[in-house]
Formats: sequence, C-alpha cells, structure tokens
Amino acid sequence: MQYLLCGVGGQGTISLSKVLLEIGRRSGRRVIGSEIHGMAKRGGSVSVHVKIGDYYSPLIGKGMADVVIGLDDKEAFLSLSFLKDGGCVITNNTHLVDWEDPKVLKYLNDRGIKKYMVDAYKICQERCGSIRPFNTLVLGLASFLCPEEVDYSLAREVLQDVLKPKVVDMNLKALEIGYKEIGGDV
Amino acid sequence: MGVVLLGNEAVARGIVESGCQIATGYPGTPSSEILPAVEEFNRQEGTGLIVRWSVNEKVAFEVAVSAAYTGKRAVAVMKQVGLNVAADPFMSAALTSIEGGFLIVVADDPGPYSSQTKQDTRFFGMFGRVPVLDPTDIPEAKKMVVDGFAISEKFHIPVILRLSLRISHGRQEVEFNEVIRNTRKANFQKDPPRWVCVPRFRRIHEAEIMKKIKDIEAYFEGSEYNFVVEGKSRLGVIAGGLSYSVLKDVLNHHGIDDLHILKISTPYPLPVEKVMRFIEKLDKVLVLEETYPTIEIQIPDRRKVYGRLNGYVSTTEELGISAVEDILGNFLGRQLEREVISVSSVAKEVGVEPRPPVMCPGCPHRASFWNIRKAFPKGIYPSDIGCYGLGLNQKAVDSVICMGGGVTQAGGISLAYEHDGEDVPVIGTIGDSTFFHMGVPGLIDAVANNSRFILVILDNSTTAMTGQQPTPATGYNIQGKAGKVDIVTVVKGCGVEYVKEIDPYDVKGMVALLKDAWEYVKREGKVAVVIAKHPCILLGEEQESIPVMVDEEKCIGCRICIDYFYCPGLVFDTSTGKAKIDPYNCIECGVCRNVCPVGAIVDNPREVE
Repeated sequence: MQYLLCGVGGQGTISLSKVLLEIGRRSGRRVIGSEIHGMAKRGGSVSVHVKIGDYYSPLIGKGMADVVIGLDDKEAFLSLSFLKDGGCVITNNTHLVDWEDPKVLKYLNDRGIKKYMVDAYKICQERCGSIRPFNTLVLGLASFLCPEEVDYSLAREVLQDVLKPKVVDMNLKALEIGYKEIGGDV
Repeated sequence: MGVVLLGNEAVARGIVESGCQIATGYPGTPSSEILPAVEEFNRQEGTGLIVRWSVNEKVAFEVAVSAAYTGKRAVAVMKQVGLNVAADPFMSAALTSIEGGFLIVVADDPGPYSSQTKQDTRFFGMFGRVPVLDPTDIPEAKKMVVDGFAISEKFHIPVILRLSLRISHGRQEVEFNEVIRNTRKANFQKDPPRWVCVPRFRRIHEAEIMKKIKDIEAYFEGSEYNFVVEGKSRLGVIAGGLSYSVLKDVLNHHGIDDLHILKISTPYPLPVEKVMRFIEKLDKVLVLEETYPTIEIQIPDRRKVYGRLNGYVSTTEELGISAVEDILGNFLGRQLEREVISVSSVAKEVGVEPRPPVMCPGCPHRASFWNIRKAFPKGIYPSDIGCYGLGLNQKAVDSVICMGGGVTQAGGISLAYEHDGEDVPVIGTIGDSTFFHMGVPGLIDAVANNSRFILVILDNSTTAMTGQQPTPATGYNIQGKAGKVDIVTVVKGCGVEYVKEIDPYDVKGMVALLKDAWEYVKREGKVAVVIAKHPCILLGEEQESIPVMVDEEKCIGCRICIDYFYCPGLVFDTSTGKAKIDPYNCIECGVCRNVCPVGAIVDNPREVE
C-alpha cells in the first residue's frame, strides 16, 4: 500500500506518518517513507510519502498512491494527481475546496476516486474536548476503510506507546470515533 | 528488533556507534537533524562525544579535520552548498595524510526543494579527489558511516558520505548495533612535511594522492556496496545510490525482470573494471544517477552508454518514480508511465491555488520587510539565505545568491550606482545566524571601502529556517551553555559607526530610523547598520496579544495588506471584496494595524477586556 499524507505545517502530518509506519512495521511488513518540508514552517504545505509492503524507494509516482490521507482538504485535493484511478481520498474537511462543484465531481467520477470527508476539527472539539487529536480521528477512519493495512488494534497499541501519557485517552477516543462512528456511517 | 528512524537519525546513530569523538556542522536543509540526533544518542549511550554547531561550514570542516590530525575520529556535517563554503579546506585536506578517521557528511537536495542549487557532491568529491559513498537506502547509509571511518583510516584520506534529501528525510527500519567505545587520545605528531601545505611538500603529496585514489579504486572493485543483478536480455542499467531503489520499485511495479543491473554505491573513484566488465557483454547500457553524470564521466569507453552526457537523460526533475519510468520507457521502447489526469487544471478552474511558502503569522521579518519598503519604495533590496528569502512575497527581496550575499550584493549594487555618481537607496538584509556565518567579512569590506548602503540585520535570536538551532549570540550551543557573542559589538568591531537596534513591530519607529540611516549614508558616505530585533515566533516567547479586526465600513479592498504584508492571518474575502482576519492563523501580533492605508485594521473591542 502506498499512502500520500498531506497537510499544513503544525497539523501533525509527520506525527501521523510515524504512527502509520510503526503500524506497518509491527504488522511485519517493510516500511519506507519520505517527507517534504523546509521552506515554510507554520502554515506551509507538508507532504509525506508512506509505502508499506515490498517497496525499496521512498517515493510515490504520479497516479500510484492507493490512498491520499489529508489533514487539510485543499492539500488533499491538490495531491490527487498522485492517487491511482479508483483510489480513495480520506480527509479532514477544512472547507477550502467545494467538493460538490460539478467540475470537481466530474474529475473524481472520471477517475473513479472515492472520497471520504470528515469534519474532524468540529467533532474532536465537541467530543474530545480539544481539536488536537483530529489527525488521530482521520487515522481511525483510514483504519475502518483499510482494515487490513491499518489494523485498528495495532493502531491503538502504537498510539499508547508513542504518545505522551496524558494525551493517550483523548487520542484513543478520537481513533474510536473515526473508526466506529464515522467509519460506520460511510 | 529494528526501529523506524529518519535517515538523518540513522546516520547520527551510525556516527555514535562508530566511535566518533568530535562532531561539528552548520545547519542546512536537509542535513540539520543529524547533529542534534548525534547529541541525543551520545547522551543515551554516554559516549562522551563533543558535538558542536560551528559558525559556518568552513569552520566546521577545519575544526573536525584538525581534530583528525591528532588521531581522533571526527565528522563534519553540512548540506551540499555548505561544502562550497568549505571548499578551500576541502580541496587541501585530501592531499594531507590525516591520522584519525575523518568523515564529511553532505546532504544533497536534488529537487531542489530548499536550496539554491542542485549540485552533486559526488562530483565535488571527484574534483577534490575525495572518495565518496552514496547510499541506496537508510540502512546502507548507517552502515556506510562505520565503513567510511574505516576507509578513511585505512587510506589516510577524508571520505564523503553523500546523502540526499530522500535519504536524509526518509524513514526506514534500521537495526541498532553496539557502540564502539573509542578511547583514542589526541596525539599530534609534529611532522611539517605532512601537515604544512607549502608547494614543495604538495608536489610529493600529489604523487601520493594519485596512488591512493588508484588503491581505493581497486578496493572498491571488491566492495559489497556494488553488485550485479543478472538478467536475460542484452540491455543493462547502471544505477547509482538511491536511483537503484527507485529503479527496483519501477521494475517490480511493471514486472520487468530481464534487465541486467549494476548497482554502484561507491561513485568515486569508480570501480572501472567492474563497470567495463558489465558493459562488455551488453548492447546498450542506461546510466541512472542523481544529479550530474559523475559515474558516466568516469567510464572510459562510453560507446554503448546512454545517460546525461549524450542528452539521453535530459530531465531537470528529481529522478523519482515518474522520471525513471519515463527514461526507462524510452530506453526499452515502451510506455511505462501511467496516463493520469492531472488535478491542476480542475484546481485552476475551481480557484484552488497551492499554498506558496510563506513566513509564519507574527514573523518579525514580515514587519521588517514592510518597513523597508515603506521607507524606500524605490529602493533596491538584496537579501540572503534564510526564512527572509520569503520577503520575495512582499516584493521586498530583489536578489538572493548565497550565504553572506545580502551584505556584499548591497555593496556591489550601491558601488555600481556610485560609479555613475548616483545615490540610490540599497538596503541589504541578512539574518543573525547568516551574519555570523558569512556576513562579517562583507561588512568589514564595506567599512574599509566606504560603501554606501544600509544593512538590516534581522535578529530573531535563532537559526530559524533549519529548525531553531542556536546562534553564537544566544550563549548556547548544542550541548548547553557556551560563549556568547554580541551582534552590536561585532558590528561596531567591524568599524561601523552607525549601529541602531529597533523592534520591527514598531513600524513607525523603524521606518523613521531607516530614513535617518539613509541620510547618514548620503551625508557621511559610509555604511549604516540597523538591527531589527524580535524573537522568532516559533521560539514561543511571550508577547503582548493584540486582537484585531477589519472594519468593513472603512476597508476599501485595495489589497495592500494582502499583497504587501502577506500574512496567513489576513485573507481577502472575494464575496465582500474586503480583507478579513483568519482567526485560525492570526496570532494577534497587531502589526497589521499599521499597514492599512485607510486605518481599517483596528483593535477588536470584543476581545479587549
């Protein structure tokens, strides 16, 4: 599986990629990734290529990603050239793209792209008491949609191991909401 | 059990495991994470390494190589353009038979994504006659640290470990090995013919280096880093370093298994016999390497070789999956790349623009650039390497060439106008870390030659763009408290008479100060220095919170705040034709209140208690 993760500096895109790589490693697969950041700090584009399975280079080619995971819907939208035809985009909805615009719908339809949007900021604020774990909520949704590659119980285990103890519960809750409720809905 | 590490962390782990004793460097993307990780592993393992950020790469190189003269194992870490700064000692060091192992870790940026060039350090190695190791992936990079030190000590020569962005900022599983406890003492042996680089000794060293390079070439002939994967066809590919990994993914994806492949991870000196034996039995051989034809140029008979030299590989793109598919597809006479409908045309149609790199909300540099433009709308603005290059967005950066160029370009441009008898305001900008790095000689030159320009030193108390490393002015280095160098004292010590400090958030004050400085330059015919001092917003120091709002009645939609202040906290609402505050991004610095020509950006009374 090849995942393209994207977001904006400060959102936790790289942290999310580390969790995803660790899930891959613990499931006994080869993992390799690479990240682009540098010019801009807070507020700049960040993208991470994550490849889990029999891969050797850290790069994803155009039209090759199985899944685009976005923490920002504009970055996710602009990364769709990396997605394979018939692939899926899972993103936090930051409302910067009109996904119902006929031109956008036609593009998605022509390429057979499935989209899964979630208002992760809002849900986390209401349900977890903070927007912070919104990236974990997106991970939960990804775990529902790709159950074999992003195993839910492994995701729980990794989060428990890598996060600071005081934020673990909040993140597990966000993961669960993403997995059971949002996932159950789509 | 392995651990998934950033490439730079894996290299750092290798440095600590290999018994290195001295580590120096200067931060630069994509190399910056190496030294902090060296210190982290050093602390965990109690290995007693001395780890230091140097003032620039030349200093880092000279300190580390000199430690190696005494028999210590030492490493100098930098990015590819950093090696340009260290070029002088680099060229000379290869000729000196060093004692302790000396490794130069250089991270290339083949995009480039965060550099002024996409130069190839392997080529630089060839120029300097310094052997180069070029890893295929992260575990190999880590292993090469250990082997690099061994090769350096075996042949008494510096060795380059050439990383690239995708290795440095890649992540992969690596194994931890035992740490070598190196107790080697400093033992400098007085031996002028060995250490003094005067011509009569160098003539001897010249003969030695030729022999060494021949010996190392022979050694690389048997290196496990280079190997052949046999195929059935009459076609072959020579792939250097990371390009081998990319090639492997492309071949696997397309189920191609009949090509002969030669992986080369010791690009200089090239094991020529191995390469010629590979080429001999084939009809055509493609060479994939990043970014110059370093392997290719060393192949003595290139009649069957297809690569950059004969224009066959002509892409200026990074050799990623798509580029390699394109090149390999041509070579095999079949289409490998997928037809993908790009998203960019739809994005344009629905008005979704990519985010340009931009300074953080509240960045003091943004205020400085606004003030400079305000004071001198017709000024010329040379700048330098750092976050402030993004002053480009505010139309307040006219040129950037290299570290220190903000000072010397201001000198050169003002000199050109002076030649015509004209005084045009030239305002150079340079960051604090960059000023220490390479700004000081230019400033001394400006004083000594009565240059007529203003230098604004953007002092945000950190090396910001590469991730907040300390500068000499902070009194801290990587291992804790250190000597402290005061910028004002340095500027005065350079002989500058006009030196004033100001907080760039004080818009009116700084504009007035800049005008005053220009009067001084014209009147006295000397350089003036203004230090714009305000901490980098990412350092998280407390500052007054000033919530603001746009008074819609007053806003005339002129976009000056959008186009010339260029803050993520200010957005243009196309539905109303007016500016508005983006509360998610705004950090409430309040500077933009001074920017609006009609005073429409005002305190937000609802939030002021």
